[in-house]
Order: sequence, then C-alpha cells, then structure tokens
Amino acid sequence: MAPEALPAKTHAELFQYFHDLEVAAEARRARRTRRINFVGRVLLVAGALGGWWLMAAFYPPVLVPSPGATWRAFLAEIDTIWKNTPPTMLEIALGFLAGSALGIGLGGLIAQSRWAEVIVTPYLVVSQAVPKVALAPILIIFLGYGMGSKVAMAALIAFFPLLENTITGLRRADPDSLRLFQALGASPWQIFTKLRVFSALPLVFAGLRIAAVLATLGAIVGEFVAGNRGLGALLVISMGTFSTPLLYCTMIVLTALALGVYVLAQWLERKALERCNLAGPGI
Amino acid sequence: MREVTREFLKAKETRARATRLWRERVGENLARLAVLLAVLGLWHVVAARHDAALLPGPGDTYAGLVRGWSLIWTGAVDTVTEIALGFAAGVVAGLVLGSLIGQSKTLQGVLHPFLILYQAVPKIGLAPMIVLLLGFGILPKVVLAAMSALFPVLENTILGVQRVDEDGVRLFRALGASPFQTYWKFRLIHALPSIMTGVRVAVVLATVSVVVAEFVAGRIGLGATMMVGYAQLDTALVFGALVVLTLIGLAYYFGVFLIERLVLRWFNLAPPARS
Repeated sequence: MAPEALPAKTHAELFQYFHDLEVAAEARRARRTRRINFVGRVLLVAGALGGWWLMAAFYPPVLVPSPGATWRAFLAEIDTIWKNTPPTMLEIALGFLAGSALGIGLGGLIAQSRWAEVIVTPYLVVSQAVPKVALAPILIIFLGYGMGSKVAMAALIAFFPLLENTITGLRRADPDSLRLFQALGASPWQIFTKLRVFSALPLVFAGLRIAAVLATLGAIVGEFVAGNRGLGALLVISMGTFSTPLLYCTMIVLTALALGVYVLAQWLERKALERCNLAGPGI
Repeated sequence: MREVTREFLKAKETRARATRLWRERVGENLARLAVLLAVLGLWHVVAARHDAALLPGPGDTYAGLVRGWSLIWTGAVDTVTEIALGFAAGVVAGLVLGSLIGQSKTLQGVLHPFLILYQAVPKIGLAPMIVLLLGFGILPKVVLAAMSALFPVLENTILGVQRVDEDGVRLFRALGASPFQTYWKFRLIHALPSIMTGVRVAVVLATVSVVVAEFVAGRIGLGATMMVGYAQLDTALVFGALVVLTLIGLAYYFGVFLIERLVLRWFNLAPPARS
C-alpha cells in the first residue's frame, strides 16, 4: 500500500489503523471457526441419528429399535422412568456425601501424623489398581437388597480419591509460608486451619468433583448387581425382558443424569475456587 | 591405618547417611506389613463371630477358593483375556484417533463437546445395551472395556502430540523430513510420557468395565463366578473370586507401570511431571 493511500497521518493513527485491521481479521477467523464447528457438529449428530435409523432398518426391533419407536416408548413409559429416577438420584447424593465426609475426615486425621501418612500411602496407591466395583456383591450380601448397599457402593468408590487428595493437599503447604506462620507465632491449630486447609482446597474441590462422578458410577453398578428400584435396575430388568425400547429410553435418561452430575460438579468446583480466590491457571 | 583424609570422612558420612535411610525405609515397610497383618487379624476376629455364609474369615475364604478352584480358574482365564483384548483395542484406537484429531485443529474444535460428552458419561451404563446387542460371550466385555479404555489414551495422545517442542519440529522440517516422518519419529515419541499416563488410567478403566460387564452378562469370567457364589449364598466363593480379581487388577496395573518405565527408558524420555 502506498503511504499516500493510508487513511492515517500520524504514527498513532497508523498504529490504530493496523490494529483495527487485525482485530477485524481475528473476528472474521473466529466467526469462520464457529460456523465450521456448528456445521460439523450438526453433521455429526445428524449422521449419528441417520446411522441409528439405518441400523434399526437392518436389525430386528428387539435388538435395535428405531428412533421413532424409542420416542414412542418414552412417551408410553414415562411414569416408570419418572418413578425410578429419584431412588438413583438419592443414592448418588447420599453416597457422595458419605464418601466425601469420610474421605475428607479420615484424610485430615491421617495427615496429622507423618507415620500414618507413610504407612497409608502405598496402600492408597495400590488401591487405585483394585477394581472396587467388584465389592458390589459383597456389599449387597452385607447390607441387603435395599438402598443402603447402593449408597455404600457409591460411598466406597467416591471415598478413595478424596482421601488421597485430602492427604496430598494438606501436605502441600508452601514451606516458606509455614515458616512465616511459625515466625508470627501462630498456634498449631491456626497453622492448620489458615494455611494447610487453605492450600488443600484446590485438591479437595477437584476430589469432590471426581467423587461426584464416581458416586454416580457406584450407584449404577450397585443397581446392576441387585436392584429393583432405580434407573440402573430398570436398565437390567428391561435387558432381561428384552424390552429394548424401554432400555434405550432409560439409558438416555441415565446418561443425561450422569452428564448433569458431571456438569454440576465442574461448575461447583469452579465457583468454589473462585469464591476462595483460588481460580486461575496453574492452580 | 587408613589416612584420615577429607575424602575418607566424606565417604564415611555418606555411608552413614545411606545406612540411616535404609534403616528408616526398612522400618517403614515393617510398619506397613504390621498394619496389613493387623487388618488380617481383625478380619479373622470379626469373622469368627459371624456365620461363614455372611462374613467368611481368611481361613474360610481360602477354603472356598480351594473348593471352587475350577470355577475360579476358568473365570480368571476368561477375565484376563477380556481385559487384555479390550485394553489393547482401546489403546490402539485411542492412539490412532488421537493422532488424527491431535493434528487437526478443525477436528478438535468440532469434536470438543462430543469428547466432553464421552468423558462425562459412564460407559458402564451402556453395559446392558451392549450385552443385549452382542450377547453373553466375550465380545460385549471386550467392547465395553475398549470403549472405556479409549478415552484416556485419546485425550492424552491429543494433548501429548500438541505439546512437543516446536524447535524440534522445525529441525525435522529443515532436515527435509516428510510430515509423516516428523509425526512418527518425533511428535509421537515425545508424546509418549503423556500417552503412557493415559494408558495406565486406561488399564484400570478396562478392568472395571470388564468386571461390571461380567456382573450384567454373567456366564463368563470372575464377575460371573462372583454372581454364582452370590446366588448360592456361597460367600466364601465370592470372597475368593474377589481376592483373585484384586490380584489380576493389581498385576495388570503394575505390568503397565513396568512397561511404561521400560518404554520411557528405551526412548530416553523423562517421566511425566506429577500433577
């Protein structure tokens, strides 16, 4: 561009002119990306639905019901599904609360003693590899067919990551800050509450988020193994009676519930970190 | 007599410190062993006051294990096979898909919400549908395990191939390497620490998925054996199968851990930073 053609006289105007050009180009690129993303996602969803419809045309309806049949079954059986959602939600909630309380409480206790921490840590690492869902039949033998065993399963699975995160979090206090607190004459209780607990918060919140998802998993598995109430139980029952449209509907509802728990947990973690002024990258 | 030089004293101090550390470590391990034995003892004591059909003790569990050994052995072989196949399939699929998606910003943008959806939904909830579609044999367990193992590997591959040192990429290009060579010999290799972390998570998820699928489908595997014991109120068999299942899970996890160490050492890569 010839210097005479630019709509700028001074250095500042020149700078502003090119800055505006760049901002406009960025906006154009962002719009283009958004459009591509939208079109791509719509195509994918349409393709998935189309693929489902195609499979339903080739397979017998007892194996793959068509989207239409699934929708009709949803409308017909909405009472059953609606009746079975609260038990599952209650199991998830109670399991999460129990597992979290136990995990944080026990983690706080163990973190007080270096020996306890040293002894427990390898067992914690090993317990990550153990499939805790395998304990479901045993919990049902102990606690019976009712809600207690599902809550216990959810709590058991949710407990471990919180225990580990609490211990690691409480250990994580910055040594310089620790020395500062001691230099200012803080009592052990003050050091614990104002420094260690505060440093542990990001990990504990992350642990709570993981625990929410795991509690959902535990409740579902508990209902799979032995349940007559709840969405997971409904899933297994409809599988056994080959009521495939009901199976698909229940699966969609259960998936939505799990997704809701996940999104809620993420959002709550973000909000809690922000409120404690801990949000931000690198935390 | 040996000359008391500075080096001699320093060597003596180093040895003394090493001995102290060694003794400390032995003490820690003895304490851990003691806790384990105490827990076993507590289990035995509590179980002795209850009916063996409700809470079998260590001895009853061992007896049940021996009694039901044929059932447990076939179940163990099946479970081990299912985990291996599902895990391998999931890892391979995750590597391939992760490589493709990681190279294309467009794909990443489009697929982002779907990836989050895939992560958020517990694949285990799909077990009844998969069992209905694929029957009661080995296939539904393998498929479910592959689906569960896919995501960690996928996500970590995508992250890993993106985070490589750009200077290295420029060096490869300057030396005339094709994009495929750059990818295969540089990006993928340097993504390995991240990928192996995902692989470790994947093996745990595959194990859990196989167990749940066996609960739902029955007939094959240790999960099915547990359900058989559960139905017959043979709690010792359930405990015995659980012990074997735990050992299998541990073996797989630590096997993958060892493979991770070997792979990283082979390619001279540093282990990933502990988050």
